[in-house]
Amino acid sequence: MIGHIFRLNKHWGNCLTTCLLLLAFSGSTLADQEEENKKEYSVKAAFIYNFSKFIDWPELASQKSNEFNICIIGSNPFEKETLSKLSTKKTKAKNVKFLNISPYEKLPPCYIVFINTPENTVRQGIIRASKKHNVLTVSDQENFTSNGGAIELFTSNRKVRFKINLAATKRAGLEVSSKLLNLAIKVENREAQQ
Amino acid sequence: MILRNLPIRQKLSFVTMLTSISSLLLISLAFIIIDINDFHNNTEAKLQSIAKVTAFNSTAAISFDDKEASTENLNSMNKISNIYYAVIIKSDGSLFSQYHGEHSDAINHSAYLSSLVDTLPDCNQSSLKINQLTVCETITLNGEDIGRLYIVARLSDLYIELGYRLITTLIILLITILIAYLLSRRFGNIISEPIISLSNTITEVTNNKDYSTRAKYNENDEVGLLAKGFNDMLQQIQYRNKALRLHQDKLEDEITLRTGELFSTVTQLKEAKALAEKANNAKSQFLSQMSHELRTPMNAILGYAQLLRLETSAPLSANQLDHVNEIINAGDHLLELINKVLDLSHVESGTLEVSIENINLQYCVEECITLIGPLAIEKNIAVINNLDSDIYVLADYTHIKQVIINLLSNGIKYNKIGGTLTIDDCSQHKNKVCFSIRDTGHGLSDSQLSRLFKPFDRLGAENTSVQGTGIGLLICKQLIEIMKGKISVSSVIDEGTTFAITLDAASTADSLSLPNTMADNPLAISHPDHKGCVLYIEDNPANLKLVKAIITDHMHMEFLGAGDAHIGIQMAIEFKPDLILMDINLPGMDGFTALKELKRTTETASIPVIALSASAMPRDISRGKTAGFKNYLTKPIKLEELSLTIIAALGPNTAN
Repeated sequence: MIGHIFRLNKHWGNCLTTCLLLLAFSGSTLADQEEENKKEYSVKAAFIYNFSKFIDWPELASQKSNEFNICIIGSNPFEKETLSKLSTKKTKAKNVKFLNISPYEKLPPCYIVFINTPENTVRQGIIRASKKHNVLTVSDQENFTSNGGAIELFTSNRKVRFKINLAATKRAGLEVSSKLLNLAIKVENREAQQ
Repeated sequence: MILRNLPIRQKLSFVTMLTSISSLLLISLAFIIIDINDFHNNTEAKLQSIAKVTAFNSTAAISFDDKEASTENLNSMNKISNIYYAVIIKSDGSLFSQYHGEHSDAINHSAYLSSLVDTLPDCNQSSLKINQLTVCETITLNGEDIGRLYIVARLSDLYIELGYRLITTLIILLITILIAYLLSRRFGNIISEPIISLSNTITEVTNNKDYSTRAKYNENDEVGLLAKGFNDMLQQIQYRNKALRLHQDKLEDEITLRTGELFSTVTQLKEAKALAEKANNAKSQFLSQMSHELRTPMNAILGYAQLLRLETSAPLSANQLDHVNEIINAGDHLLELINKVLDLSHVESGTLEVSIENINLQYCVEECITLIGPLAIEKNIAVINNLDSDIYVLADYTHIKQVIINLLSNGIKYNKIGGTLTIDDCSQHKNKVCFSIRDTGHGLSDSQLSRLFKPFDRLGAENTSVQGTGIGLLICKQLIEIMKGKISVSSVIDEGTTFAITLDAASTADSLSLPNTMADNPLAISHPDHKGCVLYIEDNPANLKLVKAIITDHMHMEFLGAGDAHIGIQMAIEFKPDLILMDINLPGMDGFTALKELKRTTETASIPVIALSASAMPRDISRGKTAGFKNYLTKPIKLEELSLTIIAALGPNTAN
């Protein structure tokens, strides 16, 4: 738990650095920046939840568990209120549930994994593991899809967008709805770096 | 209705065209309605499918709040020209994305959106307004409503298409009308031409009265039958006309023939009538002449015989007196005969004048009995009048008296000595009066009765001493008939004969009073001497001499004689006689002219003039009286009558 907090703090440190930088360039207040950040992550959480609707997981219906787990690896950037609100919803006839998991835990029963760890090796490991276990990998880290991730969230023009790596979803055995593909800004079909 | 007066061809055209136009219009209307419906349904289905697809495709954009992607998605509707507005509203009511078609920029969005939501509160429906169709589609994602899609389509295309269809329909309609008109003309001619031809034939026949004309026809339809019937009728008329003409010709011939016959008959009849009239006139003239010519010598004979009988200076011996009486009797009889013949001729020629009046029968009969009294006394015959005093008849007084006297004198003349003559009332009906005269003579046989009213048949009495003319009963019968009466006779041999007369009854109120005629009163004879001068104008010297003898010798008056009218008038002026006796048939100036002359001359105007003429016809007598003669005496002169008339004319002033 302490590690958790630490990591979180560290993350916050990163964030803070970014925020400060942003603040230095934009001249906006720290509080404004923080508020903006919170809003952005709540949108990202909603995006992650919405992805579940446009992607089909193989043998999902045959799973005994009544929960649709969305796992967060690394520090949790989302507000508690946002997650608890989304947890009341259902997708694919299952209850949405957000889980914080360690990089070393088994990926299943996760359907979506939000990777928020700065460590490249961990990230690569998870991407590799996702291919075996039909897991959708999502991250807001730059070049995530270029590095073999499935969906990469990014902000453009103060709006949250996403990229889809079709090769990655295909390798993971996931069917992505064309509707989702239509919304994706950039569709890449690149193999993950070995 | 105007259609009624149109020719059949136009009627047919009208009906055909009306039928085709109406059916075509109905069909077109049906098609247009179906089309509109189809178009609506199609448009709606199309819009709904578009909405479904768009909604489906919009889920991701809504989910990821990608307005650009959604707008891009909606903009794909620009391929469909009639969509002019589309909008996606999120479930929270906020506008997510929208599409503007052409000319939709002017929409006031917030108001328009709320009106859209109001129009379709429950989604997945469609709303049809006059020119726009709105569909709504709920956008769902995994069973969750995430928004609504509204698509508004303009229906102007529909109306444009509808217009095209209408134009097409109209063109087809016009073509159809044209074809229908041409066809109806073509086929109308087939129907109307025979009728027009027949009608023309009928007009021709009516105008020309040529019944040998025949209607032409080629068809065996109703019109053909009509024409055939018309032809048959014409044939019959022709036959009838021929028969009629034949009959007419025959009739005309007949009429001409009959008219000719009639004309000849009429001509013959006219000729016969003229002849008869001429003969009748000749007869009347002859009788009149005869009467005059006979009376003139009779005047001398009877006059002098009477004078002889009255001779006082040298009275005749008994034997001589007897002879003179015979002369007078024979003369009287001859005179009676002449009078009766004249009467008969008058009755037969219908010139007898009657004046019907109310007559008391009993009085009339009494008078007649008085007149024939001396005759009855002579034969010792009792005359019994059984009539009541209140019987009145309608008759001419003179003529009924003539009849009764005739019958009474017959009843006396042919009776036994000492017999009776009875007058009885035999009335049976209320309006008729009947009276009978019954004698007790020898009676008449049936054959005698049948000859009784024949002229100049005296039934054998001509061989007896009884004097008669043989025409008395005939005159009686004819006089009674003129007075609208009847005379009948019945007889029993050795018992007697009965004559019955029936006349119309008269009312008792205004019966004629007793007529007083001097001539009928022979008992009033007196011979007083008179002073005075009488002028007699007469061309016949025998008559002049006779009257001179009567006036001077018998009446002891002064006498002047003139041979003609001129001398007479001069003498009258010179001597101023008290009385003038005037013959009518005078040489040079006749009696009527002389009378006028006398009346005009002041010296002679007051002298009474008495006519003394042989013209004894009633017409002559009445003419004389109206001309102004004081009296009119007929020849032969009766001594007493002449003397009484002279005395009466002179009046009491001259009487001494």
